[in-house]
Amino acid sequence: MAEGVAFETEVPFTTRGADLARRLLRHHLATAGTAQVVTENALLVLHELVANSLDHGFPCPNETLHLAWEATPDAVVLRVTDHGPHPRCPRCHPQRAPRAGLAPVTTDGATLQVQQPELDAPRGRGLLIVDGLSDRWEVTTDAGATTVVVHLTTATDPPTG
Amino acid sequence: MEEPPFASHLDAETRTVTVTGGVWAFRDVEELDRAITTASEGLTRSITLDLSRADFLPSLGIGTLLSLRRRMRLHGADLTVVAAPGTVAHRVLMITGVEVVETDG
Repeated sequence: MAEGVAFETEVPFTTRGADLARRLLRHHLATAGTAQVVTENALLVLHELVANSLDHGFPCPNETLHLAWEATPDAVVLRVTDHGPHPRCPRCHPQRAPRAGLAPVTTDGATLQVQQPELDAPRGRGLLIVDGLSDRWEVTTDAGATTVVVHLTTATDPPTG
Repeated sequence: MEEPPFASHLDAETRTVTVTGGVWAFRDVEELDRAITTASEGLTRSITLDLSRADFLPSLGIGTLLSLRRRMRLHGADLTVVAAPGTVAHRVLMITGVEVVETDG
């Protein structure tokens, strides 16, 4: 990504870390001149990924989440890394919990599956939003670390009613 | 570079709650819940929620809306969610499959 902004940081593995992450990203997307629609989508996607890590993942060994992004006027790539799924998280280990999902939405190269939440469940829509607002996303694991990479551009077609 | 704070306004005439700013944190989710519960007189009267001017609506906010709407329907009331096409709220509502009435903004 030429002439863009590239950034890498660590934030605390807490909801304050989520607030900090959003503020940093907003600042950098403004610096990069990223389009408003991509900015809005990227802020939501980052928020959902951080919330997802806090709910289902382990912090990295220094009690942080690792974040990285690259931004240009019309594209953003986000990377969020934690230290893998919590061993008791029912969504990460569905064999240990009753399955409540419809057919999963498959994603590029990902083994993680987006499941439809129960009709009125307060949680469970985070990855739907990540999937719906992005061009593509993937999950990679390396030496215990799990990284979610999300690609967002102005070309993402907004769904129609 | 501040995040526009959550606020809601009730138009008693049209029984419409308009949200501005974003649902950034759990306290904002609680405020949204309180605003809808108050405007609907304890979830017993139908109201409209206008999200066209909302800046940020994550999954927890969506879940709250659906939960409130389900409880209102148990009381014979309804929560009509409106958003203008092209807004971030409209995109998120569409993605998560929430019934939405489209407005001009």
